[in-house]
Amino acid sequence: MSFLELKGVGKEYRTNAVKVEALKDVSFSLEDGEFAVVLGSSGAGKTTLLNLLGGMDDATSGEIVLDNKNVTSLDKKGLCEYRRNDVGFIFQFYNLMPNLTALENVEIAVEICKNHLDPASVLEEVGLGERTSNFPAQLSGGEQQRVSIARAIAKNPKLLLCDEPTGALDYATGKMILKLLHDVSKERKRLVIVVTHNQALKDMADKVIRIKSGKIESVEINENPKPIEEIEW
Amino acid sequence: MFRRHIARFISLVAMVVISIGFVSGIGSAADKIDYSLDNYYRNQNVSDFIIKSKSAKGFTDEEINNLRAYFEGADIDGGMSIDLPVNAEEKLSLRLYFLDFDSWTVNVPALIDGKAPETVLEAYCEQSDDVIKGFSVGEEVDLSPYGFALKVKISGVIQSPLTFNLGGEPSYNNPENAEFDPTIVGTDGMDCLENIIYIDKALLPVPTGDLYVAISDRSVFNRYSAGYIDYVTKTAETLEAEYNVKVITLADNYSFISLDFYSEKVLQIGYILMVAFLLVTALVALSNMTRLIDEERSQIACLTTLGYSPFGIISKYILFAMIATGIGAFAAYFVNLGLSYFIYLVFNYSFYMPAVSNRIALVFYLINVAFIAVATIGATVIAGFKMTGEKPADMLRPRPPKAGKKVLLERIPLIWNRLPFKYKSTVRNVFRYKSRFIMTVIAVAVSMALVMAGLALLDLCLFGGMDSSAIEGVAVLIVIFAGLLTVTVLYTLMKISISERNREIATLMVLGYKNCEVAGYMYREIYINVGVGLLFGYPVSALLVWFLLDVIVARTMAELSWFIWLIAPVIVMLFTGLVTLILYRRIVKVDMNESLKAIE
Repeated sequence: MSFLELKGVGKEYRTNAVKVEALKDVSFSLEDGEFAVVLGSSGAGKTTLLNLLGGMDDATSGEIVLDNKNVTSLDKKGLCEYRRNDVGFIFQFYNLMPNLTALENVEIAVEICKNHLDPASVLEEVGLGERTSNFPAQLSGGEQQRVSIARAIAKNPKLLLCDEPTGALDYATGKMILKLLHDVSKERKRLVIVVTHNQALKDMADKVIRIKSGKIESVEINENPKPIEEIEW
Repeated sequence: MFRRHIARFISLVAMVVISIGFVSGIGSAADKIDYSLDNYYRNQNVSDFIIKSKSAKGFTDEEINNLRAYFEGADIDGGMSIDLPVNAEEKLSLRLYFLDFDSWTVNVPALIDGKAPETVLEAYCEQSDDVIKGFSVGEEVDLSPYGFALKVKISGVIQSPLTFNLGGEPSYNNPENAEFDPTIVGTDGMDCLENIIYIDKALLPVPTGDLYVAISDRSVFNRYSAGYIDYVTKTAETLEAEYNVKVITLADNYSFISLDFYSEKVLQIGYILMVAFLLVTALVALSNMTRLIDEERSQIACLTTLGYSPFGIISKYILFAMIATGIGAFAAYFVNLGLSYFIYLVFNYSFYMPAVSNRIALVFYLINVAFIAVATIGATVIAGFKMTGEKPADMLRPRPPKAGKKVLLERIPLIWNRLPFKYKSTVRNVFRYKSRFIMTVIAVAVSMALVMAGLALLDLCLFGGMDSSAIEGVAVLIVIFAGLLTVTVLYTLMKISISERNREIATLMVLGYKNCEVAGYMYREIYINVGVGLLFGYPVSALLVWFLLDVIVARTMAELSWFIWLIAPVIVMLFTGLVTLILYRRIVKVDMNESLKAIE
């Protein structure tokens, strides 16, 4: 049994008589410590998949099992617990609380967690040891995203989910963020999933999952992932 | 656009309806009373003067002719009235009128029960009230006026236009200089009439000692204005100087004075409350429209880059404001109507009120509407032009989020470090949105003051011996409408705050915050805002209540029960709780996908 297993997962939206299948028969598996990239263009179903993996929505069919916990069978309360303790979400637009300092932004997230890491140390690790008392408005885009990553890591989750983490950043900063995510995955042995439309990122992943029109097009394994420094786009 | 901002629209309309409806309702109630009384007096041809001869023989024919000439064209009835003391201890007298039933043109009564007398031994009696005992039709009464022993039978019960206060009518047996207590205009301590009997003057050879004069040129004196009172008082003085008479005018009539007094009070209450209600409404409407235009920032940016003129862009929002105000004003008109009738009805607890006039006084209403319209539309125009004055490039970029700042409290580590984490966030948030904070504080403070005003008046009536059901009725209405206003204000301010912070709420949910925890995150700020508002509410309440009491009912705050100062904030807190309950659903319904969406 893989660390993260998706079996025949489907999501259907019904508006009046119209049925939309956002995801159909999605199956793949990922191991702990892997760095995976989910590739798909707009409308392919990335957001829906994110919602399901992030515990923000229920699947209409199939199963999602993370570390032997059946996520799809969880009720609202269970999903909340799942989001709280098992998932660390990294947003494209950082979503930091604007009137809390960097440190407090991490604190507010881990306050409710069972097994969290020390916020200050995590911020140190992402290179923001000197900026803990700054507010988001006083931080650059890259720094804000690093706070966001620190926030996610500090929760000590089983899975790190990243929604277009470099979407709002410039090229150089984006690369730096991806390196950080990759390091977190390898050094801490965490499963990190990056959802993106940027094809160039496939070379740095251990596994590349292509999604198109709500269905899995392919799952490729990279025997020799390239370091991010060597990737250009 | 209306669908997008439907909640804003409804809030705006609701506030306009509540404040304008209430305030103009009170104001026009007083006018309604005036109009109705005016009609009544005209219809019943009430006497402007009752000239009582001081001579035992009554008026001579010469005097009567002179007076008829003096009051050229007026209706003049001759008759007699005496007040026989009945009970010295209880201070009660019996009034007997001797009138010509065939020529009753002045002070024409309404027949309530029974029928007209058919013989001279039959008589009318005045309708009973809280003091006047009255008789039943067919009852026989033993009388001994002027040394004669009579037995008359009551054939009919009437209502005289001179006596419609349910608290009775003072008799002629009071000291010459007896005056009503100016603060309550009541008959306490006065000798009052136990009954009034109207007897056919053909029954006894009584002299004509009374002349009842109703002047003809009514049109000069509309609605018993100060000009009228002036005129009758001066004329009375002139007559009393020239003839050996006592002249009684409407200015001495208890029913008239008391009704005028209380309707004046209601009007004054209306004036004072108008300021408070309009202030709150204007403030919240201002905030509402300004934040609406702020939200529409990117739309406005697009249109500007497409080449639309500022006015063309803003006209949409001006229309929004106008329609909201218009609909609100329209509905407020009916609230106004309903309230003025209702207050008129409440006066029925103290008076036999005349038939209600359907005439509407629009002055209050129009002033209020104008004020609110100017505030709302003005705010829209100002905010709109400010927005379109920005460079389109700046507008297209999302507004930079307000920078977080350390708050004053942080400089006191003693307190700050002890504060649980969630309160730190709350305190920062409260100070971050300064203008909203101030808005909420003012709105809550004034709302609390309004509730206090209502409670204070109610307290005076119930426990303070003020005993006016008119004031009581108005007090209850004030509390109700102040409550409605408070709820609407709180709801509007909170709802806007929540929709502007959708992203934060969604993020917290994704981070794994439970529904109640997310709600708590928002509620803490609201309660702090309201709490501070209540603190400021005390001085504002004290001011309003002092003003109300001093100016209107000539009482002091020391006479108020201590507990109403606690009840008012409790009521506002209860309303806050109610609004947070209603908004809970809205908070937890936020879609977590809001956190994934692009900024703005």
